[in-house]
Amino acid sequence: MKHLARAAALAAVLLAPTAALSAQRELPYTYQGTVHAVKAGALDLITGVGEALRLVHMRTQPATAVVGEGAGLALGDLQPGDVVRADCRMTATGLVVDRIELKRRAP
Amino acid sequence: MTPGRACAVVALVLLAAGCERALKPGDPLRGLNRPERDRFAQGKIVFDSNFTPETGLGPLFNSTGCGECHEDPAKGGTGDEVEVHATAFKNAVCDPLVEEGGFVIQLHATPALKQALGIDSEPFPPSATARARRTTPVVFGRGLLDAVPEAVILAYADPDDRNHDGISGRPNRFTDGRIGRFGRKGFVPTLDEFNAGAFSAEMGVTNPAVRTEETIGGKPIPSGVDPTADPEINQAQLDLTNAFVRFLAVPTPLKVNRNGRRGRELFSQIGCAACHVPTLRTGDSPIAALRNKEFSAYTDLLLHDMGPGLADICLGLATPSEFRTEPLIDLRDAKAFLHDGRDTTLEQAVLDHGGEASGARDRFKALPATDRAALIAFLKSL
Repeated sequence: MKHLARAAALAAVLLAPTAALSAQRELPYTYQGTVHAVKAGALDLITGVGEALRLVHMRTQPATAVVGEGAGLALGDLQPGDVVRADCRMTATGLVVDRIELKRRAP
Repeated sequence: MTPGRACAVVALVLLAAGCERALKPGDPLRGLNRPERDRFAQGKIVFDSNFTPETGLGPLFNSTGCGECHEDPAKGGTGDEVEVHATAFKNAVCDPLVEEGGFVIQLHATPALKQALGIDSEPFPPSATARARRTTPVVFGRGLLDAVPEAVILAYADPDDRNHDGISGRPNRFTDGRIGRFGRKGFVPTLDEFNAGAFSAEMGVTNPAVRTEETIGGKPIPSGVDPTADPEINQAQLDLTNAFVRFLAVPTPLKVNRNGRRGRELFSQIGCAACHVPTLRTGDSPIAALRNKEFSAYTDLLLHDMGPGLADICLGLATPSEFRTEPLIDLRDAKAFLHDGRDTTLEQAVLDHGGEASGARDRFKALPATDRAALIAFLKSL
């Protein structure tokens, strides 16, 4: 029992930096911008400051929630020009979006 | 106090008010406190500084500094530079061509970029459906325009022309849905954002609000051509620039004679003032000199359809023919008129108005020559 506790403590000590690093890598990002393109497994959002616009590329997942207009939506319901808020996290392979909220339909 | 003394005091106060010094182009707002005046002076130095590739310029740029374009007749004024914007308007959706480097087309490249890619300017985006020429506007009074509450702007909006006056202003919106007010298409919501974006889009200078360089036609900048670490200016420099622009006053309109006063009446009578709203009022502000101030604006900050003759690019919600009502500030120093500088006289500019302004334009055309001259004389006093 004592050995088991020691092993668990040792594992915790050894794994803690990895977990911290992983959490550090997956920093949360929130973007609000205009949908530029909806592709298979990806969403491109136009964001920026003033006249300096930037394109933000984010990957979607089957679990990515899309909400708006008082209901759940499918990713394919989003169109270029829609204004959305995207809650993402930065992973080792780029931005992954967990939740998309439609704020305003394209005019 | 005797009645005689009281009258003398009142007379002195009235005399002092009447003798208040007129604000010249480039002057700061009245009522700034000492620290604000100091920030205005320090910000003017940043505004007027010229960047080099070693201090952050480029690799693509339109100008080496704010004051290089906004220089006439004082810093913050107009200039003779004309830049190019481009977007794509397809299926009623506006694409600002971010994938191809954005809608501001930089006309110059640093020597290092030229050596690496053999280009003198940003490649024109192949997907563009329209290009636009943009002159340098004055930035006088922009802090006041920034302090006008959104509710005031929305109160002037009449997108469905419910009052049947043929004018149907509506606000533009930025990429995140906020109401815009700055830029010829009224795309940018706040003055600070406009300034931060301009450092990047006009000078290629990254800053705490825009930390990454623009791509070159959608491709990353070749390694080694942008030696300065990002951000290339710090928050203090950005804040000082914002302070300078924010505190620039609207120049006091020149005194007009009887003819000019007649022109001012006609300006309202023929319908110019329906969009070029003569005065706006700011709301609450931490800056006393900007708080609850009525000022000469001659804009409603809304988009109006100006007809096919003036149409160029879309931007945000603005269709190619929609433009934000230009604030008529420091017209006395303007040498080129309308968003693209196509006209060299105010009369031509009025006659080139179309769309929602057709009625006012036609009433202007129908005026006797003396009345037309009076209206132009009034405009030249602004």
